[in-house]
Amino acid sequence: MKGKVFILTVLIGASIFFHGCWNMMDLEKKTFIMMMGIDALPEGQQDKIKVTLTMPVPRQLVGAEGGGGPRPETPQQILQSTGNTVYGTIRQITNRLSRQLYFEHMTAIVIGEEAAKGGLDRFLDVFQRNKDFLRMAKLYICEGKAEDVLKMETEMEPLVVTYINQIVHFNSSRSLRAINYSIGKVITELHETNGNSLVMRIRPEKKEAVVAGSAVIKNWKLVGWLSDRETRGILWMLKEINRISVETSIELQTPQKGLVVLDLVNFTNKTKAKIQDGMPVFYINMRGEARIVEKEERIIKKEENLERYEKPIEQAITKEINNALQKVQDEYRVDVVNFGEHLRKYHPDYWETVKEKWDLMFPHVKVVLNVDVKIRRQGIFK
Amino acid sequence: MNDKITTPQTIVLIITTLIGVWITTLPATLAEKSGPDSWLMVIIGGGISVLGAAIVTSTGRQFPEKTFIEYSVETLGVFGHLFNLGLIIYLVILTGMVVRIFGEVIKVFLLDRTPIEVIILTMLALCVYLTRHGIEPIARTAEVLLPILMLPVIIIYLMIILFNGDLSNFMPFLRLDFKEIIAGTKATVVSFLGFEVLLLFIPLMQNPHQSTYSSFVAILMVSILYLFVVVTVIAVLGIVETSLLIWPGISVLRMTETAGTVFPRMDVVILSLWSIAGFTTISPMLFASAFGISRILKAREFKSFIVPLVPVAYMIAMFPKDVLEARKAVEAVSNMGLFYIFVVPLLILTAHWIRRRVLNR
Amino acid sequence: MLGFLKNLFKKKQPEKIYTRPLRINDRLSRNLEKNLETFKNIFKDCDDVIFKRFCFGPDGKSKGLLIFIDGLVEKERIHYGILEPLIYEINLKTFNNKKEFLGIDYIVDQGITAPEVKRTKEMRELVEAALSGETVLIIEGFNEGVIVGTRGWKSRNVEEPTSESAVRGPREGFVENLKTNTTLIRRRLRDNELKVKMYKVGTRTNTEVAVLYVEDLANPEVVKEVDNRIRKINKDAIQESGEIEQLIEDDWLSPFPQVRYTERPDVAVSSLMEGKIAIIVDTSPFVILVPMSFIGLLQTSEDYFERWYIASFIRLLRFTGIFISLMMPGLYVALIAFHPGMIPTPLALSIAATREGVPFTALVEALIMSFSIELLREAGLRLPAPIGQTVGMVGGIIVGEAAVRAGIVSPIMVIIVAFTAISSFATPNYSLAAGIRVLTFVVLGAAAFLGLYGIALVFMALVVHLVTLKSFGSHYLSPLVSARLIELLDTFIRAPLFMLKYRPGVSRPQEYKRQRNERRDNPPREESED
Repeated sequence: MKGKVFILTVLIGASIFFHGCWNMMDLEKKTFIMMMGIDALPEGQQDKIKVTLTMPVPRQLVGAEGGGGPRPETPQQILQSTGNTVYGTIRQITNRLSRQLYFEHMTAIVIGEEAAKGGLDRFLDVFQRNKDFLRMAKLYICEGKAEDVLKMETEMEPLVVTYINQIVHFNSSRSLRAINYSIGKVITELHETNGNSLVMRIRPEKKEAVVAGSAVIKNWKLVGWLSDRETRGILWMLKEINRISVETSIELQTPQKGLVVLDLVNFTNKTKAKIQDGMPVFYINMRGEARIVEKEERIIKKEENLERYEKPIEQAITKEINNALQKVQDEYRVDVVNFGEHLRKYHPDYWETVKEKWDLMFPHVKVVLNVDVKIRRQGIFK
Repeated sequence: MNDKITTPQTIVLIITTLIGVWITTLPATLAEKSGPDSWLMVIIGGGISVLGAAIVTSTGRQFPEKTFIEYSVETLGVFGHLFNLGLIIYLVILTGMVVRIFGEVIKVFLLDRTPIEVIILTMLALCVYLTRHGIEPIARTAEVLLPILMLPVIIIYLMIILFNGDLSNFMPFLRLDFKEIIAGTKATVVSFLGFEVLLLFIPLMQNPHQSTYSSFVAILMVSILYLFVVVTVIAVLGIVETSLLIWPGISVLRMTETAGTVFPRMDVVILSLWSIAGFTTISPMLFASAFGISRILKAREFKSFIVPLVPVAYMIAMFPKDVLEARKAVEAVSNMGLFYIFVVPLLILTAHWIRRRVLNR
Repeated sequence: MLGFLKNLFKKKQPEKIYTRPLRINDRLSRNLEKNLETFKNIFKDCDDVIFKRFCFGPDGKSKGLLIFIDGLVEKERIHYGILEPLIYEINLKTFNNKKEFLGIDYIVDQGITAPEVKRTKEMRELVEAALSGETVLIIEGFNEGVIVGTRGWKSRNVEEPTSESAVRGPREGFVENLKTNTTLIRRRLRDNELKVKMYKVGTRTNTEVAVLYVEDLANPEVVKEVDNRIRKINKDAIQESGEIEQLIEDDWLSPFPQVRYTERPDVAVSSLMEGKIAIIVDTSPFVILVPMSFIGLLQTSEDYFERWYIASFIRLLRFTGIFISLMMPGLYVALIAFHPGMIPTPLALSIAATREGVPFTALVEALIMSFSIELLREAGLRLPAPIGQTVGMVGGIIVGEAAVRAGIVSPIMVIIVAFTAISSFATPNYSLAAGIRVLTFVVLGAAAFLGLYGIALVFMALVVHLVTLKSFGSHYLSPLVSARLIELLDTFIRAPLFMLKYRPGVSRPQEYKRQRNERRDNPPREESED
């Protein structure tokens, strides 16, 4: 009995083993897709969308970094095809590819302006349904066509994807001009608010790209843009800054004369909502520290009174936030500052009553800001 | 069959039996059914499971030398045989379902082009290799594997919740009606299923009178772990997203980058480690099935019943046509489990009590 | 599954447990000439046997016969211990006191000055004694022989052990002489509880085997089990303790060694002090220690001689090393061929770049490289030391470099294989390292089959195997599966010595506590000078 079982196991095992290994495929036979761009095609054409993929050419990429030889022409290659659905189009690309497409290294997805205006929901499903796509990939909405971003020839980094992701990485934590939202985060946000969120904005130029500001998504559709200053205004209010150590510079017109530049650090905010006369009022308390990095004033004082900048900088921040709020409340009329979510969490009874008409109510919500900045340092010069 | 397990071994064995495939799906079920109060459901569910364990073990302690198979017949007569049969069927089906869900997860996340049959059969083969050695090696294996499984999982989840978690996702607080509490609690209790193997294992303990204590400690530990996982997943993903995902416990790993480590993505590691959890869940169940059958047939050894059980479990595992159907099947089976935890032992206790009174007179 | 193979090869139990090959039924006669005839017959064509006849006693009336083997005895001892006293002194004494003539008791008690003397009437025993280097003395008129200990042959001096050298610790190592080895242990352990039991093993070689244990520490069951297993050995020749090891181990299908061997007396003594049992085999410088646990195989004596930070760090390093040498090639294949998403993107790209143009898949590449490094190791091992090093250099550096240049293997593979080999060398026990090397290929196969899941399966199977494995009745994974958590202080780390108050449970000693002091004394306070 034992012997038969043993022999049977060996036979089955051997046959399975020699039959071949289903998942086994060496990595050089796969192409690591680093970035994907989705564009909408104009009406009237047979296909609806155009998908662009970038694939690095490993040998040239590594050669460029390691060897002393001349830098190769293109460390990356562009693959394009048109179709109706994202995955369907990707499958079309494989018709012309000698290698297997592999998406687990894809860390950036760019959606073109036109495509985003037509609605994000039809593109995003594929990224959440398939485990191949990383939820930590960054999602960008591009001014103009997404393929321009992918085809860009950067000089700072060999690969476009590294270039733009690094911009976001520093921009979001060091100057607060871009929001650092991965696709997973955007999808979560969209699901929770039923289609309202901010997405990173990217603007391609010939040899470089500007990643700053944000795209406003309302009801799954792109409705407009926020500039980098406005994005920062929104970001002050979002919880995100509590978690990352934020640092940003702000220029300030001093009462005397000349500008002062201050770095703001350790910003935290606390949001509270109160219901007054059937309308919510949001009280946002912010605290932070600042240090002076540049001063235009010519008066050199032995004893600087740092406190005299505190009031103006608080006002400046308040103004920035109010500008941004005005834009989202009046122009776009979309709750991207998570006020609805706050009500849902902390005033659930009230939220039940206003949930349906929140989109209409949001533009009329009052916000009371209370900014408190302490200037701690002035550099190493008096 | 002289090997017996000590009390700490029993605790570890129950912990590893409980921690299994459900840990990946529990946050989704809870988020769907009870929203932000999911964490409370875990605690309530754990409490109810402790109650169930108390019922099961205190029944078993009345007959410290006997398994359920024997004392059910002793107290309930013919019905006892029926219940025995039902228990075995339940255990085998549960084994099959656990294997299936295990295979699904591995297939979806690790080996998408490998036939699920291979995954299931290799796992079952490994379980057979272990279970043939008897209960004591199973418990010892669990002792060795538990820290290997738990330490990385806890560290990685801790990193995720520290860097990405937002505990405000658990607001609003306590806004459930009674129905939702029942639904959520049931979902949790189902994920605690597995300790009904104690119906059979009590005579295998060196000290059967500590069975209640061991199951309490084990369920407490598992509750803490479940709580930790549920809180992490919901804090990172939010209620809505968690309820939309099929395996949120694993998706959360793919969403975040554990910065600063050699390998930025730990999901594959966690999944391979998680196969340990599957292994330590399936083995005791397989053993319990074989052991139960051997007791029913009054056979001297259980070993010869393990191998024939494999094709049965395999067939059951392959029966549901898709993963949603498998989960539905699990829910149906779990009702049977609840029946065996809460109803049958009470019946037996009553019958035992009546018999004793009648005999005394 | 594996039980089947066992059954296949299981032999029938020998009916007679301990059979001897010398079929000598002759008995000693009182006639010396007849005895000489018999012995000459037994040692027919054995030209290294010397028969020395001599006369002694008053007027040289008594006749004696010495039988010994040339080269195995120290002739000085025969001269000063037997011949000189018998021929000169007894002669003299008998003149002084003529009452008692030469009884054999008298000869043994007063005549022979050599310290080891034994009397027997068994011919067989005499022959065996002669073969093992004793001198046999037979006297005319008595049917009883006298065995005089005169062993002494050329053997290696006590030198520094080559396979287990230590930076800190004694530099003595065991040698091929059993008596020297027991001496080395006895010198370190001056305790009357240290028992030395002698066995003769090997039906033809008659190799002497000594079993050493501390009686009030070692578990009597284990002692009995060792005794049983050694008695059951029924092989014609035993030349090395490695053979004994294989014949007494629990599970011959396991790739893990279930006993520990050592060349160092200090290791043997500290094991004895843990309640373990040492088995010394004559003609082998390696001493076997049982029962042994997996963790025990990864410890060295230096762990206890160094300060605890260093020792703990080195232990952790060793565990990492064993893990790497087991998993590395498998992990490489799993990551390259199954889960490239796990590799950081820049690394993945550079691996892809270096692998472009490599004609083999990662699995074949890993197999080729692992195989060739095993080949190199084996080649270097058997050659004389200087050439062996050259082979290592040529093989490792030149061939590796050339293979990469030629594009047959990728450079990362060379790194992986070299790293694996280095990790394998860091394992202190050679048999364990060898077992792990074999398992590396199993892991590789599993990884090629099911990726990381396959590796996890093999790992779990290994755990199951280790958990069920026993060494002389003790759990092989001892401190990890027993409830004695305090032993973890001396497992992955090595806690300060004063904390190690208990003996490891793997040997199931009779007395667990090994030191009583709760804390170290505080250093004496300095006197203030006012």
